[in-house]
Amino acid sequence: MTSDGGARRPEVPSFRSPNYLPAHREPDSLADVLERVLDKGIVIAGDIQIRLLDIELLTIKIRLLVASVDRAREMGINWWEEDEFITPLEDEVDKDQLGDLSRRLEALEGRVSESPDVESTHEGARRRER
Amino acid sequence: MDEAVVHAYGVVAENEPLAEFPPGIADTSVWIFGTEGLGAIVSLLPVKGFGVLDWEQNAANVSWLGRVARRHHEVLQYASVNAAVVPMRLPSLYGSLDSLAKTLHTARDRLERDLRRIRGKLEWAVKVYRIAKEDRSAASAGSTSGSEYLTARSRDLSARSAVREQLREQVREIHDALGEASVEYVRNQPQDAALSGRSEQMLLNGAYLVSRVDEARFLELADKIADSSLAKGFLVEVSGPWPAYNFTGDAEATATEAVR
Repeated sequence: MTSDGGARRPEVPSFRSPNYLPAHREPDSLADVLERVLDKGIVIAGDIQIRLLDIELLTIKIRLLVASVDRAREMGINWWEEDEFITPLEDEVDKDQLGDLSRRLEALEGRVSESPDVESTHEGARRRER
Repeated sequence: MDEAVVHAYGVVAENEPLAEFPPGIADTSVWIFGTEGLGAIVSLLPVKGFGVLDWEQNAANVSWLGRVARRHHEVLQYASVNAAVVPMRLPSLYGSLDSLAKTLHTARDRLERDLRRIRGKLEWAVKVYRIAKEDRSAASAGSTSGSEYLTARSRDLSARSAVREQLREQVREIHDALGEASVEYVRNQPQDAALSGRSEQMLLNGAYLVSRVDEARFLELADKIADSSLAKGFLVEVSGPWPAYNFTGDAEATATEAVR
């Protein structure tokens, strides 16, 4: 983000120039445009029905596609269904560390009868936010 | 044009001074079709290429849909800075102007309510990204025994979860502060990094309905928040003004208490 505050103030829109938009502070990304035109706005069903379900499917499809263009499918395809607003946080827990943890746990469980409550430690932080 | 289908971009009050629309989808000319005091922003799309099947077939074609979406948006963008416009969701097809008129007639109350809701206001988007990396140093890394490891590990995890709680709180504060400077505000699902095109993690994807007379104040506040957020490891990005996409139809938003 730049901090050239003065240059980014909205201006009186000019209707004639091709730049009829008031100063946009950041360019519209395609993602922002798609998110809005496919997902927001009013739906008034007329005689040509592209059914609501289809529009929903279309939205999901497009999100999937946009998601898979840049980065691969391995990122998990259900991110838009997640309600948490900090979605990837829990996934950041290092896989190696977790593997390491479970190996150590197994070893420990072999030696002591009562196993520590580890499960709830690394699963417990998962919570929903809305 | 042979066979054509009517595409509606949005709805305004009839007789708004909108004369110079940018080209519509597929370079079609855009005009206002007035009926019963409402004006639908429309263009005629060739059935060949824009029939129902074409939409369905191209639902996952990002370059086709991207082109169409941009044109739809550009038309609404032009309209929204010059008039109150209720955006219609893409695609919005009608077999004829007559059928569109009938449809508008049935939805008249909703449309008029929405027009009142957004008149004199536009939408601003504020995204917050997290630029500071989480502290990954772990006390557990130096453990020598299993039990020592588990204790340290559990401490690491709860410290991390405290950091997350703090992050959530800070982002909520930003959202609410911006909400105070707007008429209504809503929090959307953060975009995935692949969708946003940013490597930083998006923490907030907020939309704010702001009175045009309050824009300077809103942007000043956003700038202030952006400046003070950098030190906390947040990057704040503002875009707009947008047509009020998030504040029409059945969209749920939080109304700010102090509505002017």
